[in-house]
Amino acid sequence: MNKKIWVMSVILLLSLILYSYYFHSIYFPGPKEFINNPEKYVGTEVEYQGKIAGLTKDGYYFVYGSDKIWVSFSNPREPVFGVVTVYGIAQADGTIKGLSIRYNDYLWFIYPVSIIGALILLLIFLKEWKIKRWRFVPCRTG
Amino acid sequence: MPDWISHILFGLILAELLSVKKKSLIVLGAVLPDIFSKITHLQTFFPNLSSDIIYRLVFPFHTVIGGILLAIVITPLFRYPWKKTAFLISLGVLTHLLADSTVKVFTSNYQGSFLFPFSWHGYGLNIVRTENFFVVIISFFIVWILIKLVKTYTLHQNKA
Repeated sequence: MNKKIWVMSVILLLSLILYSYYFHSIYFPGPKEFINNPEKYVGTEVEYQGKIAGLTKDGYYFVYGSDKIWVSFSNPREPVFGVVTVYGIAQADGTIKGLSIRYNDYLWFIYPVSIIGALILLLIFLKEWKIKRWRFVPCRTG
Repeated sequence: MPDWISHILFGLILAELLSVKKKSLIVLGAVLPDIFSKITHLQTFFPNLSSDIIYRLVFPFHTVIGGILLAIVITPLFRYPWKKTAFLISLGVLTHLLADSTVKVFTSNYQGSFLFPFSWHGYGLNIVRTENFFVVIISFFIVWILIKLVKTYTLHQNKA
């Protein structure tokens, strides 16, 4: 392979990673960024998906790692073996005024299915390639 | 985000349509944008780990330019013509992004930032809800089987 192209690609990819690292939160504020500095994101439209806790008729807590964000929304329900997606407006007090929510029931099944997918990928891959001196070499049968 | 089986099937469908010899390269590309983002799931076991930071770091892999660059970067891992390898993996990456853009979202499709780094706007077709992934798997599987059958039939016809 042309070394110049490879080195250039590595440099460009690293530049993109750095650019994303420093500017991502401006366009897609993550939950942690919102929790740490809610005033900065007042009025911003947010869309978060995850587990919920402390359900009442006025809302619920969106669970993010060890943190929680209160989401005000009338009469929410527990998702069935899944998660909830909320679309709402960030408030100055670190809560979210929910405008719409979606119950992703049975979404947890996606993980075992994806593990099966990973095994299928491995099967397809190893049918065509074998490892030789730290590189993938085509199999004769592949 | 559809599940990995859907992505693999989409990659296989394209590989069959193009009659690619090394199908696994397209299939690898079809899951490549998601491989690194799975690190964020570590937060399930380590609640103090901020997945925001990981998202920010792996976000470029889930874009057209970032995905193609990643495909070129991993090309030396294969002892195979590099242009062909990079092209097939990149093609797989594009199938992944196209499949993800079909997911229904409320706001801008985070997974459809096709113009990154020139624009962060996410584009989406807003067709499938994530939890309906079984419908996608079955549809893709039927299409894949049909292509295989048509190809086998055509091959037999040509031989006869």
